[in-house]
Amino acid sequence: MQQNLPVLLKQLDANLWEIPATGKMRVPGRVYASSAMMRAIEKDQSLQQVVNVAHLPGIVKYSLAMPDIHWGYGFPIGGVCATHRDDGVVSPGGVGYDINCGVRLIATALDADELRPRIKPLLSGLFRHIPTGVGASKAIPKLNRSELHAVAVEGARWAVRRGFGTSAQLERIEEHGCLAEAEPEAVDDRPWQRGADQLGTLGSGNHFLEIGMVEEIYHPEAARVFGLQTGKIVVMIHCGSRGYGYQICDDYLKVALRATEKYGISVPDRQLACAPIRSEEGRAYLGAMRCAANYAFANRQIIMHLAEQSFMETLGLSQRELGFQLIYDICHNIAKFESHEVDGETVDVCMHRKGATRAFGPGNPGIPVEFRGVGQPVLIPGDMGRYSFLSVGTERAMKETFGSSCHGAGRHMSRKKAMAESRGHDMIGELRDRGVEIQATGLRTIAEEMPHAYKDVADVVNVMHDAGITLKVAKFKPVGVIKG
Amino acid sequence: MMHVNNTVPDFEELEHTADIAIRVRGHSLASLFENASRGMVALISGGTFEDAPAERRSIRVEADRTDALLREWLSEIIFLISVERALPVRYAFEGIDERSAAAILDIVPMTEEVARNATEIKAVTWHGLRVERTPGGFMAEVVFDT
Repeated sequence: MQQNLPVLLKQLDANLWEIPATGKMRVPGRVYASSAMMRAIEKDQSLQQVVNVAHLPGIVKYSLAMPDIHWGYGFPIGGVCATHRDDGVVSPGGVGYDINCGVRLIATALDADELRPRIKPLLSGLFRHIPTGVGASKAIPKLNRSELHAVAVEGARWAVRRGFGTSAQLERIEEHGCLAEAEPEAVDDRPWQRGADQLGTLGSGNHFLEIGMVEEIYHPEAARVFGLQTGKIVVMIHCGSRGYGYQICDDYLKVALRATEKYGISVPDRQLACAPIRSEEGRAYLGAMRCAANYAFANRQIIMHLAEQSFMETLGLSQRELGFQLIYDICHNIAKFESHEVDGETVDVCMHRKGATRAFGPGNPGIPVEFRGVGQPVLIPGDMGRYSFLSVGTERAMKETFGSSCHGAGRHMSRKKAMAESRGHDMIGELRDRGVEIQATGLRTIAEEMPHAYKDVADVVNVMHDAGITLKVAKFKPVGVIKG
Repeated sequence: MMHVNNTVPDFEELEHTADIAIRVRGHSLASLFENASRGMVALISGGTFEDAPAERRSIRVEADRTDALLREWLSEIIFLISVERALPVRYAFEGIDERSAAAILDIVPMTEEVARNATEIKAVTWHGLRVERTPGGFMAEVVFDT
C-alpha cells in the first residue's frame, strides 16, 4: 500500500486543526478533532485524503473533515467538500458507493423497563420482517422496471403512496425524502438488476436496526420538541441504497475518469475522478445519483413501516399504543445543491458529504417548521455495545462547516483485526452482559462489528459539541440490535 | 483454451481501517486475475463454499490499463455474485493480455449458510489500485469497499 506521508498540521484551537494549502491544493484543509484523537488520525492516510480533496477544481473555502474521520478511498470518511455550482466539479467518490446511506430515528411510547423482558421475541419478529445480510432481498414483492423508475423519481413518497407509512412522515426526512431532478434514464441496466428485489432490506456490514433507551437528556427543550423522554424506547435504522447505489457509483466513476481526462482535470487519486457540474457527464451523474438517493429514502421508509408492523404484532399493541413517531431521517453519503454564506456572500455550491451529515442551525427553511426553534436533528449512531447520540445543528455550523457535522463513531480497528481479537470471546454473551441482545445473520458480522472496533462515539460527539458545531440533545443506550 | 488450476488463493489481506485491502500475486496475468478473484471470493464467503453442480458464465472485459482491467474483471464478478447469488469456483481463461481478458467461470449457488456468514463487498475501488511486474510474475493491490 501507499506510504503514509507526513502532513503539515497547525492546531487552531482545542478541537480544530488546519492543513495549510501547499503545492496544488486550492484551499487549506480543516479537521475537527481533539489532540488525543489527532494522534490516532495521523496514523493512517486520512489526512492525506483531506489534502487530496483540496485539489478539486472549484472547491470553496476548505477541505473539511469531521472528528469521525478515517481512511476511506478517495475522500476520507468524515469528509465534507463544497464546490462552486457554476465552475466546480462533482465527484462520485465524494459520495461513495452506498449513495444516501443514512439514518432515521423513531421515538416510541414504550417504556424500556416494560420492553426488556420481551426483547428477544421482538428481535426475532424484526428479523423475520426485515431481510438482512449479503444480498438480502424480497422484503416486498419484486418490482418491475417501471415501478423501480417511480421509486427512483419519488423516493420515500413512492413508499408512502404504496402504504408504507404516512405523508406526514415525509416532512421529517431530509429533502422530504425525495431529491428533485432524478433521471432514471441516466441509470444503466445493471443498477436496476442489482436493486430489483432489495427494497426494504438492511444489507450487511455496519448496517443495523437498533432498539435503544433514552438514557440521558442534555437539551430539555430540544428533547421536548422531538418527543423524547428518559427511559423511553427509540428505534434507529441505518442503511442505504443497497446494490442499486453501489452499481451507479461504480458505473459513474468510469464516466468521471474519462471526464477528468477530457476536461484536463488533475487529481491525486483516481478515486477522486470528477466532472464539471455543468458538463454532460456531471449532470448525468447527479441525475443518476439522485435516483439512488431516492431509492435509499424509500428503503428506510419501508423498513420503518416493517419495523412498526413487527412491534405491533410481537407486542400485541395498537399503532396508537406503540406511538411510532419519526423524529428525523438524514443522509450520510450525498451530493446536493445548497446555498451558503461564504465571506459575506451567498454562494451556490454542490455539497459533498462522505460519511458526514447535514447539521442546519435554528431558523433554517430547509428543516421542519416545528424544529426551527432548536435546529436540525443530527443522528450519530455509535457502536452496538455502548451508546448513540442525538444532537442539533447550530448557527456556527452554518458559518464554519457548510452546515455539516459528524456521522458516527468511525472504525479504529480493521475488520481483520476485529475478527482476530474476537476469537475465543463469546461476543453475544458479552453484549448481553452489557444489556444488549443481538440477532444477526451470522457470527462473523458480530465479530467484525464488535464495540472495540469502533472509536468511542462520545469523543466524536463531544468534539462537535465543544466546537459549537452541534449541541448534544440526548444519549441512547442500545437494548437490542439486528444486523446483517 | 487455457486452464488455470491454482486452488489455493495466493493473496494476503492488508491492514485497512474501514475497508478491505489485498495483495495478490500470480506467475502470469491469468493466475494473477484468478488469484485476485479467489481472494475476493474467499473474503466474501469466508473461504467455504460447496463445489456443487456448476453453471457456466462467460466474462469478457477490456480496459486501457492493466490495473483498470483487473478492476473491471473483479467488478464483473461482484456483479455476477450479487445478481446470481452464486460464487465462481473454477476459471478457464480463453485469452488474456494487458488490455483484455476473457474467461469461462463455473459458478455454484451460494448456500444459505455461506450467505449468512458472508461479507458484502460493494465494489472494487480505484484507490491504491496497482498491478506490477515482479521477478516471479505479477503483483496487484486492491482496496474493496465493504
